[in-house]
Amino acid sequence: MITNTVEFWEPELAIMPPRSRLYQLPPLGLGTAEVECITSYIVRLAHAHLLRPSVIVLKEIAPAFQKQTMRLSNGRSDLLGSLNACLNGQGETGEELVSILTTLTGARDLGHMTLKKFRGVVAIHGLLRQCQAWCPVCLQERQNEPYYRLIWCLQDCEVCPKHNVRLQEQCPKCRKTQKPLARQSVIGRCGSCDTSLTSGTFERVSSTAKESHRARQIASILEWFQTDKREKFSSVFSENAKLLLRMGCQNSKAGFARLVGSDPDSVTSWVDGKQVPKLRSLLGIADAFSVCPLALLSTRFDEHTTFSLKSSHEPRRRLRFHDYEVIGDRIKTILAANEFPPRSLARISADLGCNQTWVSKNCPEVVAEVRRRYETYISFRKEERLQIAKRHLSMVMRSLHEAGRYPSATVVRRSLPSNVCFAEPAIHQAYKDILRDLGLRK
Amino acid sequence: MSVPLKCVDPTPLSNEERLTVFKGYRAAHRALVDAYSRLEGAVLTRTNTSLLMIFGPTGVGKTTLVNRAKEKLLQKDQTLMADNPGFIPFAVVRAPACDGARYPWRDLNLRILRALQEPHIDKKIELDSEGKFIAEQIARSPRSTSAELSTAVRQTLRFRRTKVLVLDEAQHLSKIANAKLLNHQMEQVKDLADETGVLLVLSGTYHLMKVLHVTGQLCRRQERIHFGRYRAESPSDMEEFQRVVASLDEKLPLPHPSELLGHSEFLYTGSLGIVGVLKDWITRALNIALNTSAKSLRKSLLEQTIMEPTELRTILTEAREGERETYEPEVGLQDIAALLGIGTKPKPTLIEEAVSAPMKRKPGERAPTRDQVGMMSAA
Repeated sequence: MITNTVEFWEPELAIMPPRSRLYQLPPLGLGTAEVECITSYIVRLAHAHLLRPSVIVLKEIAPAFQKQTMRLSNGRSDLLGSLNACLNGQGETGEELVSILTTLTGARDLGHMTLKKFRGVVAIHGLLRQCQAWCPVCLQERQNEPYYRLIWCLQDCEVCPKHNVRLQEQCPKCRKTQKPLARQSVIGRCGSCDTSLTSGTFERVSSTAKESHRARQIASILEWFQTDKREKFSSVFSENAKLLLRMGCQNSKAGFARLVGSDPDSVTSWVDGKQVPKLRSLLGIADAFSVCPLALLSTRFDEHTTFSLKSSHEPRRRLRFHDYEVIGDRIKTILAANEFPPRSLARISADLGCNQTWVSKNCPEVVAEVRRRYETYISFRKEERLQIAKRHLSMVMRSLHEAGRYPSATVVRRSLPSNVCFAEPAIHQAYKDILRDLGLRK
Repeated sequence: MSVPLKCVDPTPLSNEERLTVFKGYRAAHRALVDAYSRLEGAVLTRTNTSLLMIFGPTGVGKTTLVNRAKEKLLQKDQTLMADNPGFIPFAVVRAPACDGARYPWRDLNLRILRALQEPHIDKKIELDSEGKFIAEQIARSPRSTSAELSTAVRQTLRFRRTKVLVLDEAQHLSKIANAKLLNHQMEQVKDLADETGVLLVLSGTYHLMKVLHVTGQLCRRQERIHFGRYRAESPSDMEEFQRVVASLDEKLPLPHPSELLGHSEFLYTGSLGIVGVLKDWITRALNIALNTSAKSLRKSLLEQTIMEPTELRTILTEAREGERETYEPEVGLQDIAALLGIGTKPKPTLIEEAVSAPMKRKPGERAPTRDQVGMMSAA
């Protein structure tokens, strides 16, 4: 007699949660200055799926964008076109791209592959390169898994900070530039002729050269932003610039501007906090005052902060001083010469090497005479041109009429020389008058 | 005599819901538990085994076994899956049937890619070691071969970090018209497991045993789990079968007990001792009982829903053949020992052979036999 029974397994211990559509590919170089850029990540992701980058971009990424031009139905997208370069930048497009990729792959920290942290710290203008640049030695080192670094996307980085090799922008064979993200991108190969980008010769730069020093500074900034955990970085540059201006240049904005290679208006906007500096300007300030660029951004300076002012190599611009009486006499001499055709005021000022506005302000009488004479000449020339055009018009219309053809506007326009504009009101009125003369119009 | 009513679930369920609940019960009988413990060991603790074969008669519960292992692995890897949304630890694919001389590897590869949720399968390209494109849209091109799709499968298994890939109905792999290709086929299967590090589980009927001994390499890296039926010759098997019957009887959502144990012989005959077949049979009968508002499962309902005898015979014949091969294999250990020369008479040397060889006579020399006497010729 069976007295016991078997147990039953409980139903469904666990189910598979929803999986990401694409692989969770880990970003390369995270946390270092050699971090990968987001466009390189997209190409690697496509190749991991054995797909062309265009398939991932057009079929997976573009449809998720809010902007209509990202997902046009004709197979085009701004992601592969006009917005190509800015994907790695600090703008909203890059941010939205990161968000979409995070959803598709489930990967985290993808925001570190863009210049998102640079927002509000350095100016957007002139920050990004419009084409892809690379260091052939870096690509050669990682032949099994090459990738493009984010630092190579910065316009001001001209040299690889690791190898002191000048960054290449053109294919060694066909000399074409490479897009950061193209339909058939292959990392390390030219998109046009499929040549390896590590071939060809490259230039090594001295480690003490200015470009190498700048590249290392940029690398240190990038590395610091990689490790900074704060979502939004608030820069103290404005306060520091104000302090340096006061302590280093005695509040002379022109002097400050000369020192850093910028202009006084920019210095004013930096100090007032209305604008942030370009990356090159930031590095220039750091060099001029021998401070660390990171410290300029993150550490609040005070009176005890030590810095040393480098002497400015750019000579002070000599101001030109004009004797306005001499200038006025010279203009009078020109007027007395009664040259034909008469020169305009702009031409006379350029010939005399002085500013037109300054001449107008300081020699009003002779300037008025110059202007009157020039305007008379211009109106005479205009009238003469009109008469010539009317003669052409009359000749064409009468020859057509004699040939038995009606001189319609279309035929006449085609027959006139190219310098005669039929649409001009005077010419059009003359056309009607001639028609009336020929009896073809009431 | 009043029949005591069963304790009925107070929650009012519809007939469909009751049937669904009954279908969801998975009896943990001895054979299933034994097979599962071996499978769980192979799945959860990876050894050198790259190929695992589960074979048994149809309906015995192989799919139930595999699903249980899948749930266990998913439970274990919950944290990993949360950390990596691209991670798919377990995938089950139904192997397509072979309809010609060659196995449809292309179809199988496509099914694997779909099971691994691979996007844009029709736009896959081939890349060489330098990352250059060398073939375009391999899945869509009619001239694309299964070898090119298999690259995509390997890539996907690698990036999805799949641990276990189950090919259900794997006996189709062995059913190719050209037997010479079977060797090549199984080499491909072995390569897939070796290159990707995935534990490949082939689950199928006894036909799968054909591929067990194809090559030596395959033999070394495989493990097999025989998930058989309960046989009438074994008293312990019959006892376990009756326990299953009693357990299913308890779970029947009917007001009165059905006393299925009283029909255990009939149930055994109609299910051949295969628990899956038994449960399906009882489910069919239960469906009718629920629709006719029967109070219990009578024998007449079971007789009404039993499988056709011809079908039962086919299943039984296949099962018996497989069991014969399993329990009475052609080759035993003593045969192996004999082949190795262990425990047998040593082979004689050449000199010993020459000495013991019969002497040969010269031509014309008479054989040394006695001549018959007393029979002299007249001349």
